[in-house]
Amino acid sequence: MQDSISKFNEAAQCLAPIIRTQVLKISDIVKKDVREIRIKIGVPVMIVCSCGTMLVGRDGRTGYIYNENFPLVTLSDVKETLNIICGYSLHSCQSSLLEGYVTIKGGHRVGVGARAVVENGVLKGIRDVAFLNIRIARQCKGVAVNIYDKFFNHSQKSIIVSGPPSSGKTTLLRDLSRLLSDIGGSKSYRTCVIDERDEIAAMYNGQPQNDVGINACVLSGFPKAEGILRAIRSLSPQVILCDEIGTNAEVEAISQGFNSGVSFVITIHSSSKSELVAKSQFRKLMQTGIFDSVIILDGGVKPCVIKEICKMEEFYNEIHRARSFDGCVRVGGQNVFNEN
Amino acid sequence: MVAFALVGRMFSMRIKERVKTLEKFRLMLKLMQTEIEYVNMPTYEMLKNASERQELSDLFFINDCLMLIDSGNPFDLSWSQSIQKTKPPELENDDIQLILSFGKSLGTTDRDGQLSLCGMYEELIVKKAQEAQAKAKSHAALYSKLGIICGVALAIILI
Repeated sequence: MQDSISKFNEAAQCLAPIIRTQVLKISDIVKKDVREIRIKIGVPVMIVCSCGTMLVGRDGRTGYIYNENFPLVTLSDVKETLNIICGYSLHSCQSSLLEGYVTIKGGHRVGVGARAVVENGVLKGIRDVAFLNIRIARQCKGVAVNIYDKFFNHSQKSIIVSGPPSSGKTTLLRDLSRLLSDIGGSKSYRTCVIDERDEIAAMYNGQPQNDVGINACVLSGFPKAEGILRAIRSLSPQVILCDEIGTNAEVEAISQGFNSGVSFVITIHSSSKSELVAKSQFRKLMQTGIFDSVIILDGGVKPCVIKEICKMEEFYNEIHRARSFDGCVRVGGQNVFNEN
Repeated sequence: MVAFALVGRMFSMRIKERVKTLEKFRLMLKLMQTEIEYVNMPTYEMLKNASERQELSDLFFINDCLMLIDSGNPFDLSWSQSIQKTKPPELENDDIQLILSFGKSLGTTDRDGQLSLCGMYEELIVKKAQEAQAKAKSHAALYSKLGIICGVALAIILI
């Protein structure tokens, strides 16, 4: 509980002084349950808990119905908060602001809602920042123990973690990195984390804000394909961990890595087995023959709950069984792709 | 005669000090430009780097500004307070205003904006330093001459 409260207090430090004072007065019972702090011009400060979104009052009291005890966030509050988040250096956070988020000390991620500045169809910058969403980072240690035991303790396999949004794919990847690269564990590996969006290790001033293991090398901000190739060339990893694989270049880089003797742990978004099979990059990954198994996460209220662990052969068989005369592949009674 | 000549010398020394301080600030701008251009360095780190450089370590406000930031004050407030608190006598009000206004815009725009900002303020500082140098030359000569004239005049009166 203490850790959750201190994480909340840490995240609240990035708020403008007036709203910071107000938010820090929230009771500890509420603080430990807060997942997000939302700041929007013209409305009170909002917090997202397991029981929904609540407003924050002047004295730190929370409630669902608006009244005059809930002060409204002003433009200067949002501007000051953004300045603190960027360390009074917008130029240093330029690329991440264009992506729509900034990672702050403690690994918390701040989503930025603003007006786009577009030039010749290309996003050049943002202005009129009106909304900030601070997602409080809380590391779940131990969620990947079973996967580590099954795939890495006595062998070294490559696996895919798949699941719907908020099912805990990244959390699982983070914990697996910690287990794999912690010296002194039952079996330790030289790992490399390709953290394009600063979600896994959440680097801040050159230090990972999340525990990804002692022997893990983090390549932060690199495009995944470039990061994988760079890691293979110069960091001699045994296992590379990478979030949300999606492009052909990334599949190609994984293939090259495998040829160099590296194992991979990657994640792919998908709500179901059929959706996974329908994804062209998944089928390409299947064709490489690199991966041993797919871990499918449940996606319920609790994150990182494993629904199913499927051997890659099961997907081959399923596709083979489902292939009809017209070349369409049907999984779960649904057309997922056409081979012709 | 000697007293007036000394006043003239003191005045020109003060202008020379002003030029020296402006030159240091210009050097800081140049360094910041490089640090932004190559590594998009955050403002705090740029100040920290400047404070660690021998040629800039005695630039009047840097250490105070860093101390204020370290104690939790926002950057813009720390910048203006440290300058107001430590402004050296040789700097003119215009110089102080220029340095203050630079701090207001530092870190508030994207990379290109920051590079233009540093470039623009560098030009303004160079201009100020040139003006000060010209002033130092003319005033030093003027005060020396004035010293001689006043000395001669005083001697005539006494005789």
